[in-house]
Amino acid sequence: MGIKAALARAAQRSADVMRSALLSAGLFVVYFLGMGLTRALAVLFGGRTRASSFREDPAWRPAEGYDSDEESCLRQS
Amino acid sequence: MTSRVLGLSCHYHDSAACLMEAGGIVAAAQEERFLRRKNASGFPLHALNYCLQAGAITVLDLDAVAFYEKPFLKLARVLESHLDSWPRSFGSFRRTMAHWLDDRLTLPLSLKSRLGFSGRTFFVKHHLAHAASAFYPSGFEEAAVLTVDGVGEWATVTRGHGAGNRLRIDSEMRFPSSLGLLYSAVTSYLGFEVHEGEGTVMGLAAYGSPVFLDRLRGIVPSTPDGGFMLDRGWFDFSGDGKMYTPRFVEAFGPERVPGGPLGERHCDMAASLQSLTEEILLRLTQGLRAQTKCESLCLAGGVALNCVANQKILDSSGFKKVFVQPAAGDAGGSLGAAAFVSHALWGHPRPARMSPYLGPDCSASRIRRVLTNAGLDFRELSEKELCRETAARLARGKVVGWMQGRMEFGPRALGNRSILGDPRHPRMKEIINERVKRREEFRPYAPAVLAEAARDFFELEGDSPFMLFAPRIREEKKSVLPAVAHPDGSARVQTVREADNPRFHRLIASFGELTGVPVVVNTSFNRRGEPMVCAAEEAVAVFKESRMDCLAVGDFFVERDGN
Repeated sequence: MGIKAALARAAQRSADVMRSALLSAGLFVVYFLGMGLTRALAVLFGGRTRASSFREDPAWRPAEGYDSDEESCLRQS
Repeated sequence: MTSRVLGLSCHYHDSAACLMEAGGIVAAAQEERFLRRKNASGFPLHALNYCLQAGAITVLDLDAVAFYEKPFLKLARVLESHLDSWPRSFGSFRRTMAHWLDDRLTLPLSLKSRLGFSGRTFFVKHHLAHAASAFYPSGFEEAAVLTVDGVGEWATVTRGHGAGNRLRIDSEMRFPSSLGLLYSAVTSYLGFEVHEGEGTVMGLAAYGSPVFLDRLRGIVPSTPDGGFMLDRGWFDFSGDGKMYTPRFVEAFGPERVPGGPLGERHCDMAASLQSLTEEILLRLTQGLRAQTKCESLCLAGGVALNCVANQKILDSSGFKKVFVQPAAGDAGGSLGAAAFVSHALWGHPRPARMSPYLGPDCSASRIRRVLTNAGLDFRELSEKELCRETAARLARGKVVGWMQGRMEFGPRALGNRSILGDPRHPRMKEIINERVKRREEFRPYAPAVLAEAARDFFELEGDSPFMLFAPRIREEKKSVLPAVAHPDGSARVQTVREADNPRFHRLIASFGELTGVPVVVNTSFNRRGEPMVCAAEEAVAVFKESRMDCLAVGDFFVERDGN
């Protein structure tokens, strides 16, 4: 019983480490390849992200996406 | 007919749950009170279970769950922020995304796996939830609505209008132009914790002069359309690192180390930030007043917890009435999401007035058991005797722990989980600090006053039931209330009506009969760094480990030996 439990714990730990390593690797690829490419294209074509802002931008914008029907509120986006 | 909805706010900071049934608020509480960890941000399992228990229902009786934001929209903003600062944001990206993948994008699945709930889950936009949390319980038939916080999905400020059960958001300002993030950035620059130290900075402001105001205006310029923007060269909100750039430090001097000495420059920076915040909020509310012609204003979002700015809005915006609900920050998003579903989607009638006492109560038998187990001598008293005894001790300069009825929802102690003192005592602030609270000495303590006597002591029009306005103390009363007077002559007042909290009202009235001053010092019942007490066990623990003189918990009265 003791050995079985120890094996189970070790397997669980290995799975956690593996999951964490895969997640880190996946995020590394997404960040440096996916987002890096997006960033490069944005710079190349003079694009900008919504997170950047410039003095000439209007501060106030019409509100969007505040619909008050059930269907809209069931969406996560 | 659908009637029961559970509102949730979590995964950022100050998570909470709120249960509404047929338009009435049954229960609401912050997770931190149960976990005993300030600003707890995880899934609010304890708060949720409490809400279900208070409503005497199980999760299967819920008609819907309402969440206080739209996760996919928020994720888009988080990704674009990281993209904006690529490649130096990788560390933050890795940490943030791990959390998102773990639980933030999977709320319906979490609800099913954790609770067995498989009904409908509504996602109410963050600022719409804030707006709903302010408008629906305000008691106003019609009002303008302004929400101001750090950031929701993209919005940082919204303007809207409510009438009856209809609530509409008209316009918004977007990240990164954010008054809440500006306040948090300077809070961290001044060495205080973000989401926790903003109130401390507000208190510190009264000790300084706004000598940096012009320079701050330069980096937070106003726009021709009445808004404002943040110059990104000075701030960095892209990850979880410092919120200000080296340029900010070069211009304003080195940042304060947390816990380090506070100098004149720090006070001046706090004063400058507070002045700028008030200036911007006044401009926003005056614009909203002109636009809507409404006489009433509802305010929500973390910035609406700034009671000094709220007072300026009440005095000078043109609105005759201003309502700020007690959990105006993100915890109140749970209430807002539930209220929006209940009133806007399902058409339930709105409550006439909001009570802040929505948390757990503690039964007499449990309190008796806790006191007995703690080895304390106690007396069980009638309400009248309890109030008289407590008032007499307060009048003799004693510090009393006061725990009664249901716990408050929101950050303020409003007479049910409070530490009380005598406001006439010139050293009462120091005494409470020495014996229990151990707060920074510049931070003020608040007065709780009988609503019917408030205008005798304070320059206040209307009520301030949730301690969210800071009127000036009347000139002739300043010498009467030295323990609650801030250097700028203001005080963060709670007005207490008998209908809202009969026992606390009775206590203050008893104190007034003894002293001629129906005002008590009221601060939250906790030790430094801990959330407000929730259960009797925690109240007794604070009492035993501090040097408080007396404890009034439920109908029981405890005195420390030698009093």
